[in-house]
Amino acid sequence: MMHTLFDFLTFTKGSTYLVVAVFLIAFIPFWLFLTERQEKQSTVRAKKK
Amino acid sequence: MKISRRGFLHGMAAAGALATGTAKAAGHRKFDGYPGSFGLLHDTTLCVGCRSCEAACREVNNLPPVEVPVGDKDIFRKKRRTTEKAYTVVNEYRKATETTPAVYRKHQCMHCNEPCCASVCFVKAFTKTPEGPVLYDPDVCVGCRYCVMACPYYALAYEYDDPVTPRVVRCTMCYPRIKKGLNPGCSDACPTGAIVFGKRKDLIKLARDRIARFPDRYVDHVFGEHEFGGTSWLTLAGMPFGQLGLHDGATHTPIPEMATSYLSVVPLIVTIYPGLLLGMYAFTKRKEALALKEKNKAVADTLAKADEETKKKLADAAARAAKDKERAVNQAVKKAGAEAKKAAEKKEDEK
Amino acid sequence: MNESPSERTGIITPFNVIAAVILAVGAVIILIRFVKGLGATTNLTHTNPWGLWIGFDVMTGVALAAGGYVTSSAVYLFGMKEYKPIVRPAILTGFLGYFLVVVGLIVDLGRPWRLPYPFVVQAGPTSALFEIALCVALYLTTLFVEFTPAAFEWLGWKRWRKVVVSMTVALTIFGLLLSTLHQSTLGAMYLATPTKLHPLWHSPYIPVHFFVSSIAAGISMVIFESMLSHRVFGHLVEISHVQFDNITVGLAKAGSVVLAVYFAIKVTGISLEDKWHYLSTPMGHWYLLELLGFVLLPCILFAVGFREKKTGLIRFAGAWTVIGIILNRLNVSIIAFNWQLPPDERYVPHWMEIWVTITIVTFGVVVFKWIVNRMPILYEHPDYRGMH
Repeated sequence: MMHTLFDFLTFTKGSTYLVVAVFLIAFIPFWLFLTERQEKQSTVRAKKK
Repeated sequence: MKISRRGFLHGMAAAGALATGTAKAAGHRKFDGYPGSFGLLHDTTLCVGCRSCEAACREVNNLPPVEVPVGDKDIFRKKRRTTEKAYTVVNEYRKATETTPAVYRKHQCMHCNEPCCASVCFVKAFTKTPEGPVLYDPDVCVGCRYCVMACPYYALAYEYDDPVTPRVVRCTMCYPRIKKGLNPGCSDACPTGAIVFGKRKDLIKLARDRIARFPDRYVDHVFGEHEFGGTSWLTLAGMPFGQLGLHDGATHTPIPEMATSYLSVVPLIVTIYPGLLLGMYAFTKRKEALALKEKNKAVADTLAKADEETKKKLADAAARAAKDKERAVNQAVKKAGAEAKKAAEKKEDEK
Repeated sequence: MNESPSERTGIITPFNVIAAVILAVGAVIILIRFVKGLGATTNLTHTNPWGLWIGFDVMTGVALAAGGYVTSSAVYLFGMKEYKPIVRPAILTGFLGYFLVVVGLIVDLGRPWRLPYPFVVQAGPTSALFEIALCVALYLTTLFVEFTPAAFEWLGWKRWRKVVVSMTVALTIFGLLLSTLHQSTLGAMYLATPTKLHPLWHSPYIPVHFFVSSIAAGISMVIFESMLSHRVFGHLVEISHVQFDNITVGLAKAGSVVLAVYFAIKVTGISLEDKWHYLSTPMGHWYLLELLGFVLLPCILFAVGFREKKTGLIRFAGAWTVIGIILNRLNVSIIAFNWQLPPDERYVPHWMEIWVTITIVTFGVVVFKWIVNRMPILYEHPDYRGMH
């Protein structure tokens, strides 16, 4: 039971820091997953040339 | 490119404005604090400036005794503030006249319901207890003094002369005594009843009751009931609170709400930036790739054009050369024919 | 290329002697601070717990070190390749700047050995300072990594260099993210003091003020620092004067736009909260001096300098903007803070606080000089030419 705004803020901001940290880290494999085919294609094309 | 940076800046400004304006800390929720928490009522119309509270506070907290003895009125010439040795001070806010007594007010940490010090501390060294007092934990304090800097009541002090274990220092509302069922030192020592200890709810009722019974004696306001979210210390006065060194007309919004409003933008920036910036980077790379492609195409076209022109030139030259050759051959044949004719005529003449 | 001037003329140069004296006295003062406590070497009080070391070393220092994220973002994210020659000096300035901020903080904190506490003992996530501490720690690391390619080239560590260079875009994005956060939050700290900061400087927009002005600070510091570097280290600079002037002129255009935006945001803020009447007070005049003299004026000077391609005017405007940023940060932290208190309760820095600040800056300059004289900051290492 949250009696004070301070208790509420401590909980919500604390958990939010953790959420965004997870998001930031997860974004890296996400981006790599999205762009690795493009990378492969462009290097293949370059090699063909 | 300059547009993207400018647009980016404008976007940031808008995001900031949006967030600070509309992101309320807890939405619609209201927080009532801990039920049954204690407080103190300071009736400044009863205070005679004896400073017994100061002396008692020192004793209860094992501090050195007051430098200027109780009863010495010279001390009121200058306003004092709390220090690392003085958890509380009494100041004179209006001199005595022939008809009216002097007005004094005792100042100390207000033990706010939503403490500013707690919200600005980055190691959570402050706690609002269910009993009411706001406590400070010197075992985690890093000594950044943000709390000292932020407290709107200038209640906190710092041990600048301690190089090894400097602490933030302030009134503790005698938490250990309260836990044992005793009263804070100052309220016990006050000879006039200007300090009353009890449940905060009851004290507010008491204060309102006094105002109702003696409307000419008091300003019709219980200071501390709602200011900045409310405090454990409540004050009654016979003159405007602004003249007693308190914030007249202060908002009811707790300072932690103001102080943390911007922080709700932080997760927004963290979640938007990676995609947005990588998108900008991808756009940049795409633009560069397209520009390179067009450049290459232009070069290839020019080369091809030059190629064709060269081919045409070669063909023309070849045709011209062939024509020249033909002409030369014809001429040679004609010449040979003419010479042969001449030689035949000459032979005929000789016969 | 690697021979430093001091190896030719000896270690006893006027600069080195003066720097040594400053550093020696500063070291003694810092020692006294740690032996006898903050009270012995500062004018800090219970009413003014933050002084020059926070107002200048930390707050102004962070703003002036912003050139790192501004230039690297421009070059690596927005494709403005023509500014590549100034990225490395800007990153170095940024890295040294943030390092000195941490040094200044360590001198100011009551118990600096507890600095990691918010992350390893107990966190106070409601605090703006928590976010700042986290972001500054991460950003200092990022800047350090962004600086290492120059060191690796100097050391000949090719593999390490390759690894770090491949992370350039990711580091730049991370740096821009962290900078946006902590630059703005340094201003947001003052949202906790609505009764103490003068209404003209206090605003719900103060985080935006700090962030946008940090961009202007970064651009101006790059103009200023590159001007000095080209004078002092001219023998190391590879790019032509023409190319350098073109860069300076381009930066002026950006500086002008940013200052114009900053000016607009500030005026909008005054209008939104109906604070016009404060402008006619003494503090209001001081505010107008900052806003008109050190924001609007350099904005115009940058614009004119850009149009007329006057590099001299641009460099003056850059230095002037740097002064303006210093003025703004000192106003927010010291001058317009506690503005309504009587004179005897106001804060004035102790000479020892000023000396320590100068010591820290001098130390930064000495290290900058040492690195620039040895590592490929102002020029491209011949083994890695065109490989960035």
